[in-house]
Amino acid sequence: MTENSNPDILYTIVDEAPELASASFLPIIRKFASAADVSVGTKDISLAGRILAAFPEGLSAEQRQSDDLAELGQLVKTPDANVIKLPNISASVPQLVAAIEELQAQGYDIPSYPEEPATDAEKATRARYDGMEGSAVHPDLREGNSDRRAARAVKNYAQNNPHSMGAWASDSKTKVSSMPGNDFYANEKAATITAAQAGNAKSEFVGKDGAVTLLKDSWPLDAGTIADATFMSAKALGSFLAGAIEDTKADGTMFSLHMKATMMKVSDPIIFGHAVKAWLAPVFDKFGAEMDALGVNANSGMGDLLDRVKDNADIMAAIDAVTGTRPAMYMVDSDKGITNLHVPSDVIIDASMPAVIRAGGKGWDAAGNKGDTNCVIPDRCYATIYDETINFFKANGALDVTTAGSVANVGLMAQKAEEYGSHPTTFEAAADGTIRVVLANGETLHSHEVEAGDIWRACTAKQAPIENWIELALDRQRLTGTEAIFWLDANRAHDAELIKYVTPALKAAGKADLFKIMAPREATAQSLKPSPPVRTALPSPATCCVTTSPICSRSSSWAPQPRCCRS
Amino acid sequence: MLSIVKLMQGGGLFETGAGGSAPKHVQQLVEQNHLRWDSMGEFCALGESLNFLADSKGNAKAGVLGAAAEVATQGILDHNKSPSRKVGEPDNRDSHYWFARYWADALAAQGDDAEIAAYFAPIAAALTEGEAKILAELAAAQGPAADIGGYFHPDVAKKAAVMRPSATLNAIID
Repeated sequence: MTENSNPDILYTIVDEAPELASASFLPIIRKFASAADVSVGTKDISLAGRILAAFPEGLSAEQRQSDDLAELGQLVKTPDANVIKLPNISASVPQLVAAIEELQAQGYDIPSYPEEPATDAEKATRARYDGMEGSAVHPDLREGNSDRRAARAVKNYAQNNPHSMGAWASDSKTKVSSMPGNDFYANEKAATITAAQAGNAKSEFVGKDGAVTLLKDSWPLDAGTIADATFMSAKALGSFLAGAIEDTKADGTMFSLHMKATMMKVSDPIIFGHAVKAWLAPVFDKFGAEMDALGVNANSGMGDLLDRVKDNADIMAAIDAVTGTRPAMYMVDSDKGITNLHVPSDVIIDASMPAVIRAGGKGWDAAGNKGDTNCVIPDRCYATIYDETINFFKANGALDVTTAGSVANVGLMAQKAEEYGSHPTTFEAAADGTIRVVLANGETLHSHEVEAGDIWRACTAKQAPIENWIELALDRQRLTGTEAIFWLDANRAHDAELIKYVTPALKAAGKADLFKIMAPREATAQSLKPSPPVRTALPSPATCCVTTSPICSRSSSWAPQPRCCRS
Repeated sequence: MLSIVKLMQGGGLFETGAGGSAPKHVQQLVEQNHLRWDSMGEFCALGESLNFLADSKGNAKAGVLGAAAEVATQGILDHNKSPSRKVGEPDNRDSHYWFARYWADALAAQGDDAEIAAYFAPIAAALTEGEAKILAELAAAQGPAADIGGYFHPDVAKKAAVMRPSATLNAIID
């Protein structure tokens, strides 16, 4: 079929299983749509497609690909956009390298991934590849806020045909462990930019010697934008992780770490690397130099580490010795010996935590035995959602799928709102010093004293997307007629600024009495509370949650609490 | 499963859910020619996209297609036609056959657009008559290893050959 230059619907070409499915399903869609004069075009946003589009230099005319992601990024800013977007790879470095090698083997002349770029050419290549890492697609396409709810047909089916749920025991030892302080939650500072402060801001590192290093230049901040910055202390993280490992052992449970390394592609692999180092601390203490020489990078995971040290009998023996003293480890694949710490992108919090919760708080250990697990989620911004959910199930048992409601979700994400932990506004401090945000007018907006290794991140949410998000929430509340909750924590700097938008907007709409503003923990508890009259009277969502959470609003997977995107 | 992004300039972006276990699904297809990927997210998104086209552009025909796609989605669920996890049992491709069949049935049966109903009546009949043969052809493909010519960048022709093994179904669709 020839491609209509301006099709009614655009279907995305992606990766892996969903793309295989499209090979069968898309011809059916096109056949049926053509009967109604509806044209269906495609845009290639697959990882391979993006690589080929980025490196046309060595490719023949037939091999070259247009930059469909950029075209789609423009299209979503037009009123005509109608895009069906399937899940695509949020590439980790190992996946990116594998894709490059496959394309090279297929005869595509593209550069290899420069692991340690030295020359300008290598640095330029690396920069192009860095742009494809993680969830590179979503920020470009999400020119709107999200409106998520269970499809009626699917919810009806789930209630009539309940899937199995693991039983929750009141004495379950499964729990969530988070840092007591000095995490992103504790250190956050936020402000709403005034007209006098608007313009190109920058972030910079000031060393103990006063030398200033530019981290990010030309960072446009409009008036009305909420700009925040925070950091996680590497030392505090390290001691927390060491403690969590010991605590897990004392509990007799499995150690598990739940991160989102695919999306928070700078911060989360570093946190993951700290966990690898904490787990193998005696090995790193003794063989640090040797492992460095072998190219070990803890952030790449235990799988890569083992591959690099496998021929060094001393290190392998030391790893075996340490492993013998550790608690059980939560496994990704018990049969193949893939641990939680093998690959940073294997355990993704918004899929892994619901799986643990749905299984009655269980994970699987190396021997394939089911057991309770200590779910380590270092930062507290959203860990409380899972903690509260687990507490609820311990006290009340699992939800009954035949009667459980669902929670519609309106998420803030337009124009890169709430994008943090990824390039280019997240940095690992190279030394002790200060990281600050300096505004166009020269004023310092935020400043943090950091130590070497601390993870600093900044994030913005623009005014128009915030206002659009509140309007969507009002719409959704009106359509569902249920209680609606803004999941905002007045004690968190960023959320406190958002509340300054939300409260007057609700009042102006005359709807303040229909909404609550609750911190994620309290909102979780409220959403899990049984509400019998609602269930029978209303097959639609039992509550409506309005969130900024990267977990609830931006993931394409399950939302944090089991009723949210269940079924 | 389905996220509707209401684009600030008026367009619609319909996201179809998680790919978290996608690598294992590909592995199973390559080893056993069984794809357990569940297209339910795509079914839901397709219906929403067509309904959005109907609402935003006043395209009534798209609305007919969208309403019928919702009936087809319900049909997949009600008749338990979602893919099974095990080789030898119905997979993703079977679910697409059933979706096409329920969709065509609904389009042939609806009374809002006679032209569309007339167009789909023979298609619905062919899909019903061909059921046994199509399912047998889909089942026969399963078991042996499948060659799709790449993981990140599969070969288009090989991929199509693997994912469309029923000549009977293809004759109705193409």
